[in-house]
Amino acid sequence: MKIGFSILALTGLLGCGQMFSEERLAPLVPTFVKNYCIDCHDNDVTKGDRNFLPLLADPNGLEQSLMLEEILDQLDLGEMPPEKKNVTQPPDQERRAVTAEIRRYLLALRASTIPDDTPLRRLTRYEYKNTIRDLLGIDPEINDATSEFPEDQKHDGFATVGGSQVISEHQLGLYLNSARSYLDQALVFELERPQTKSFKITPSEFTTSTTGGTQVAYRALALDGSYVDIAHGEPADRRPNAPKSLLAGLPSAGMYRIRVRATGMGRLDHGYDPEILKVDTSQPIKLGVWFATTRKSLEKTTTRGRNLVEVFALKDGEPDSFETRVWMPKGAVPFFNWINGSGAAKGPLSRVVREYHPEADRLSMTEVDAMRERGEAITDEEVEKHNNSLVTVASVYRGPRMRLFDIEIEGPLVDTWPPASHTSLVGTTTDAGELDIPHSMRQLAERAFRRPVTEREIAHHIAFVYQAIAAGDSEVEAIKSGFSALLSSPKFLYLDEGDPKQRANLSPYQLASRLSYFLWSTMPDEALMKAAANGKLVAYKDIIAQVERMLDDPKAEAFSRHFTDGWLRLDKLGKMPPGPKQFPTYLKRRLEDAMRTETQMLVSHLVRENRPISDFLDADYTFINDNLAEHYGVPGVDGERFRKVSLPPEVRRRGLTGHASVLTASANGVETSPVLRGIWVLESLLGTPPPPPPPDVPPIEPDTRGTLTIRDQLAKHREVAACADCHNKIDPWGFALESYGPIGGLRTRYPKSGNRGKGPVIDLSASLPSGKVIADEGELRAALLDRKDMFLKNLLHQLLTYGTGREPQLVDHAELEKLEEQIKRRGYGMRDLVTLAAASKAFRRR
Amino acid sequence: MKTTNRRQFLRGLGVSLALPSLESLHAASPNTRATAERFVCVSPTYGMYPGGFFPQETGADYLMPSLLEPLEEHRKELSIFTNLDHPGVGGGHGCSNTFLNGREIKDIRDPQQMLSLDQLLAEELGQETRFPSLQLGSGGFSWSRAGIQRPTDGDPTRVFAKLFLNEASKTKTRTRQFLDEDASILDVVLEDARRLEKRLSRNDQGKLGEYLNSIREVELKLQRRKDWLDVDKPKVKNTVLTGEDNDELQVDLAYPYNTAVFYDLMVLALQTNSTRVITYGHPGGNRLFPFDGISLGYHSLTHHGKRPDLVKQLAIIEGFYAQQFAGFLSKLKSTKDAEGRPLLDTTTVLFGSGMGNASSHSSRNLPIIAAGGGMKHGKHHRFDREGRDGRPLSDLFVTLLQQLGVEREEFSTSQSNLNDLLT
Repeated sequence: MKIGFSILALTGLLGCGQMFSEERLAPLVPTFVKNYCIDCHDNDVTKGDRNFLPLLADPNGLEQSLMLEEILDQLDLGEMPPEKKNVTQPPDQERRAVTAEIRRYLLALRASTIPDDTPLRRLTRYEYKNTIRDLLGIDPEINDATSEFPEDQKHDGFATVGGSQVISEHQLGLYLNSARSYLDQALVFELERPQTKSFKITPSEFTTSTTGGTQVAYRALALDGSYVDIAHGEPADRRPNAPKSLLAGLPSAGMYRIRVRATGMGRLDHGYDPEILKVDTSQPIKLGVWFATTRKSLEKTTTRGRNLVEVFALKDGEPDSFETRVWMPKGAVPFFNWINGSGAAKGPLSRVVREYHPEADRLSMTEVDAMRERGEAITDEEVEKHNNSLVTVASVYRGPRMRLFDIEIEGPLVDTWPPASHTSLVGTTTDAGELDIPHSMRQLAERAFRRPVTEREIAHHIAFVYQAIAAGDSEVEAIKSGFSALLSSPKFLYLDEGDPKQRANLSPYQLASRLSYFLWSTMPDEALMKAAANGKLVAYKDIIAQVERMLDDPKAEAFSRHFTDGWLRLDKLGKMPPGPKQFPTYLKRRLEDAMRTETQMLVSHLVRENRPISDFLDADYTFINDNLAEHYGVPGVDGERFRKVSLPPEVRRRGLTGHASVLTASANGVETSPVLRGIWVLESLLGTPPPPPPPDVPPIEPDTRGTLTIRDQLAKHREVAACADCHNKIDPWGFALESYGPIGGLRTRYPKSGNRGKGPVIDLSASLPSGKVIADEGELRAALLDRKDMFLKNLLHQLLTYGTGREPQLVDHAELEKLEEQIKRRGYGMRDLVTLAAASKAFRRR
Repeated sequence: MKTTNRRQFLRGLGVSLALPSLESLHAASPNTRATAERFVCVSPTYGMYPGGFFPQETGADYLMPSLLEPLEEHRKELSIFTNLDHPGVGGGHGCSNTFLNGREIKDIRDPQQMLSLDQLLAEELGQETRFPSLQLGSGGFSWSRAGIQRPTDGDPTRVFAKLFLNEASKTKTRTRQFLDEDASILDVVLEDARRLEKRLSRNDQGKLGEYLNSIREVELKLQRRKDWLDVDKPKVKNTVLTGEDNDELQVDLAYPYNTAVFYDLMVLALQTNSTRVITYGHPGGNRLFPFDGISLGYHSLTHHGKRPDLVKQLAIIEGFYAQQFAGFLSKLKSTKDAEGRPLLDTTTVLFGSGMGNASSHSSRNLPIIAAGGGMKHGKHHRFDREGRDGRPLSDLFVTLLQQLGVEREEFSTSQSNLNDLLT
């Protein structure tokens, strides 16, 4: 709903002679122009080459709208009318009324000149991936062929809006490549059933030497070789612990079982000075089980291609066995780390050794160099002799560490052969000579195009496969080419919703696709296709029944993820990552994922339980795990598992405005801004986005040298009349949220400037545009609850934008109002809202 | 008098609704004036701290500003500009991406208007080289004629392979097979697209048009790759990646240390005529630069709030950019082209960003340096600022285009050119 004031963008859509718009400008604007502008801007004078007579003759037209845009800019800037002797200045009130009307008119104009129906839209990157998953029966996340796809263009956070999507030769080339690579994964022609192997990994495989010196990676082997201790680690490990015997990668792709015996050691009983050790031992020691897609992903400078499989909390001094299963590609290298460890442990570790274990304090090359520089003569032999005389750190170190015993990796585990991915495409034969080419092509075409196909439209696809064989390709190559073509066809990549002139509403198959991409972000399943085929996707009650079924399917998680990302702009998470020094827990406690999970779970919960949408504004419960609980200061939440907890008021986390995800996405990773958060409230909750700043107003340059807070700086900004109108509406919504820092941590003061003293105390109070004064974020929530109906209207609007790929249009408004009433009567339930939106005429309209 | 792109649009209304055709843009007369043949653009995403970038004095006798000290030795080969910017471009992080085209996507009526300077040059200068252009490091500011950001390559090993490693003959055969296969797949899907087009609404035909256009472009690209497949790549030692045998230090291929590697690769690419157009971007983000004296992430430092301790840290990073850039100019000076001239004399080099002051995310007064290319250098030029706008940066672009033999009088939001200052 954000509107760029440029009308230029929409002029391209208009042919000559077409009626411009039904939107009408209120007469007060021409009157204003006549009174204050026309003297200098008519046929005779035409100052600045501007003549406004056409505007007076007929204010509604394309050229006129461009003039209005300019007039608005000038009025906003306060540059016109010029402050000269003979020029009459309009009273402030009149000036404001006119700018408000021009803004309204231009916005409405833009809304009404965009065509009613959904522009042809293609699958977004995540929809493409999910569709490949269901179409080919493989896991597209592994060996992700779409990782180089350009990021989808978004319309207010939603990638599903056709009008904003683009496609380039680059992307089309990538579609061709990824189709080929995914088909290679799915098909197993001429391959034997792979043998399940067991890989036994011994602790000695994790060490580079048996000395156990204080390397960055402190890896000590027990004297009898029965375990290895690992005393460093963090999520983005610079030295991942991969077993030597598997560094070359797994010999074949498939499902593997990983078993690890491990325990935590020395967490609470090490006896060292915590100041020296610098490890947060409040959580149990946790084992991360990972795999790298290729060995290259283990290099210290990258984390790309590393996949976290599962995290296990370890007991202290009590070995236990842990098991997990995961699909790994050929060439993958499993590895293990202390995921909530101390990072690279070199510094603290060598201090511990120096302080507590001088008998193991080896001379490092740097120390030797320093000694030599000081003039102390010491030969290399002497250094070696000294170091060899010492005991190993491993034998004396008592600090916190992860202890791994034996590890077993077993796989690939093959349930059926050929795998389902193969049989669903070409049947049970792995002999290419036995292929039924027309049948296989036709079957994939129908599933890929999400509707029945005619002989005629598939004929050239089938002919293509035979031509390839005639030209010398093998059957396998030829059918893969044929499949690739189907997966690169616009009929697969785009959601073909037909011509609005032929029919206003979607056909049952088209509706099946729209519903499926709305609630599952993937292609329709068999039941949905069957319903479409049997006329069971026409009657209102049938559609409702399908929606209910779909919401109960685990695939509906995709809705909670992608709708929420767009609606609450959580797609911004990770774009401006917080600094590792200022906010170490963000990475170390993997908070970004945890934050996103919390918000998604709240959305899923409201949908599943049909909870009232007011829970979004003030739920007294939320969904957190140990890491997020630590961030929020909620006691008694142990372990990685997310669970529902009730929130006592003093925790100050009720509703979305207390979610760290929202608070992080509405800051920039460095500092907070009441403006950004105010805009977030207006856009995401109230659905009344402010217009963008007039381009000519200089932005505020932050100054944190003195004691001037952001509040003071904004107060100054609001003294400029051009800024005041909008900022009076924006800033108050953001002030109360200043109680949360850039990653959503609670605070009462701003960070101090430099290293001196305390930062200024934060003032959370604000005077809302309505005149109501609020004291803190609790009263902000109350004010939002007062606007529950606005919130409902906005949520419905956002749902439909996401689900239909277009903003609701004027023709939909009457129906939407009825829908809102219906949902209010039913008690504002979220599931009702989603279901009724999906079954609405606005949704079913092309 | 203040004129803007919007005004030109107002004036040309009616006529300008018709899109300029591709052909008309190519109709430039054959170049007779070209003194430069190559173009390189280097861009730090968050710009340069204005307090350390712009000289106080104008003319030839300016004192080199603190951030630019490493460039002192090249002062005769470069020009610094104050008060150049793109009229009509607003602030915010997006402005970094408007560096080479001067436009925001929300303001255009035709995707072709997003075409960036380097991609226009790729069309003009890049037809006879293996790669029409290279986009290295981090990207965002290079835009195709279809109005889409060009992807970049940030991995020096991959770039080296792309430029200089011949595929094994077996791989070549496979590649040729794939290229042929791709081409025939495109024929099949083109048929699908054409049939689909027939029954789509006018609006949807536009969206499908993008797809059809992509097919045509992929076909051209495939053809080009096939044409070059059998031409051997230039032979170059890989010491740029590995270091000389007797080097004690290993070459670090991780950012930011790989900056020098990229600059070396760029010199090699130009020298071997593998391409004539290169852009190289320094990424933003909040990485902690591994330099002494730096305690905060890059993005955090750009939000310095004028605090001297933070500005000082930022200067370490930006000083590094300047120092690396100076090294690049030195290499271009000492490397000779096929006719024995220093590469710098025939290479137009542009350093700058679409972001003026990162602290306020401003798009005004952009940090701009032009170097080499046989132009008249040695001065700091300061333009007047009228209200919000300085001189259009595109005026400089027009001069660069003409210097490179592209006979155009205008580009993006230009009003004129800077020929009187630079040629």
